[in-house]
Amino acid sequence: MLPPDMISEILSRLPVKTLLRFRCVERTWCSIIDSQSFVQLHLHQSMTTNSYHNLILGSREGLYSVDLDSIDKAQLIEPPVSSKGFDCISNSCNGLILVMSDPLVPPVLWNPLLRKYKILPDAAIEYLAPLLCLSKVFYGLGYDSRNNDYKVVRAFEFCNQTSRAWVCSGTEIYSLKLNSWNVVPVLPNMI
Amino acid sequence: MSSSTELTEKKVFLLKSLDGVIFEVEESVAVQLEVIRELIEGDCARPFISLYNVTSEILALVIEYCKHHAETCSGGTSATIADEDLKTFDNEFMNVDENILLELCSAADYLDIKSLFELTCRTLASLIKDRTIIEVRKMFNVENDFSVVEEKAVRKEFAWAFK
Repeated sequence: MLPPDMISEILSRLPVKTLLRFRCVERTWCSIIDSQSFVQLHLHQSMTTNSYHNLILGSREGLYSVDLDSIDKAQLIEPPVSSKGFDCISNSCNGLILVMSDPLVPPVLWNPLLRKYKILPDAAIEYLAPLLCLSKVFYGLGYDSRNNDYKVVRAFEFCNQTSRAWVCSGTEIYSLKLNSWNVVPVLPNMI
Repeated sequence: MSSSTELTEKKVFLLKSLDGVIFEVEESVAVQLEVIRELIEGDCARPFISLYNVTSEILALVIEYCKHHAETCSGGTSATIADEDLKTFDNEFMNVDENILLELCSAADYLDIKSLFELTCRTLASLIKDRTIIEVRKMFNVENDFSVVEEKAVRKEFAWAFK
């Protein structure tokens, strides 16, 4: 039998779908594949060897995933929460993406290869007054390597519901580890 | 003045396998085995270096690999031709029985030969990629230690991956 470190090295060169099957081989393989260190190793392998990369494209019909190793076919993929047929997606970060459907609904953090998702909690800032409405919301997803945490930045602005004039802007940062939003100093200007 | 034989004389090292077979290798080959680099550089490699985890069958293959890589890299050919040559060699070199491949991977890990470790890991991964769970267990000589209920539960977590 090979030592677990070697098994990890071999497994880290396999695509995600195969790994999900191989969790059934035995307990040791399952705990290797589920471990945080293996996730990092697999990500590192994929990045350094440019393998198993997917391109996700949005169109009016929905989201498509293209396997960059066989670029001739696109597969329609189902976002975890679909609103009116069209979902907006953020940048990708280590295989994760954010799916936004409605500005007032919290976005969903999605791992399309694992088909797992997490609905983010409601944002911290409440709507300031009934006469104000959200006019713009922007999301960005990033990895905080210092804290080994994924973060979502949400920048938005409110305008007056009747005049549509800009009133204020704001920024919040979500931490996956803390599973909460934090308000950061307000942007003084329009976005 | 030193004689020409002295000038061209190459340093050689003796490597002893697990089953006691001694192999003579040139320095260009020996230095690829990172695990013994310090012994070589510190001149502590006399009379021979014992490699306790590698059988003579596998060590012979490892030496063949390192020799070809050393010769190709110092052969004076252009980098692209050398690259192509190594690729062809590596592909043919990996055309061995699965058990040999597993042992080569293990030896490359123990001897710390990065390129051979990478090559064997990559080859093993592509070999098992589309295999069934039962085939993989057999190849890696592992027992299924899940109960029927547990295995079913693990399978259910990502049932779509089995389709």
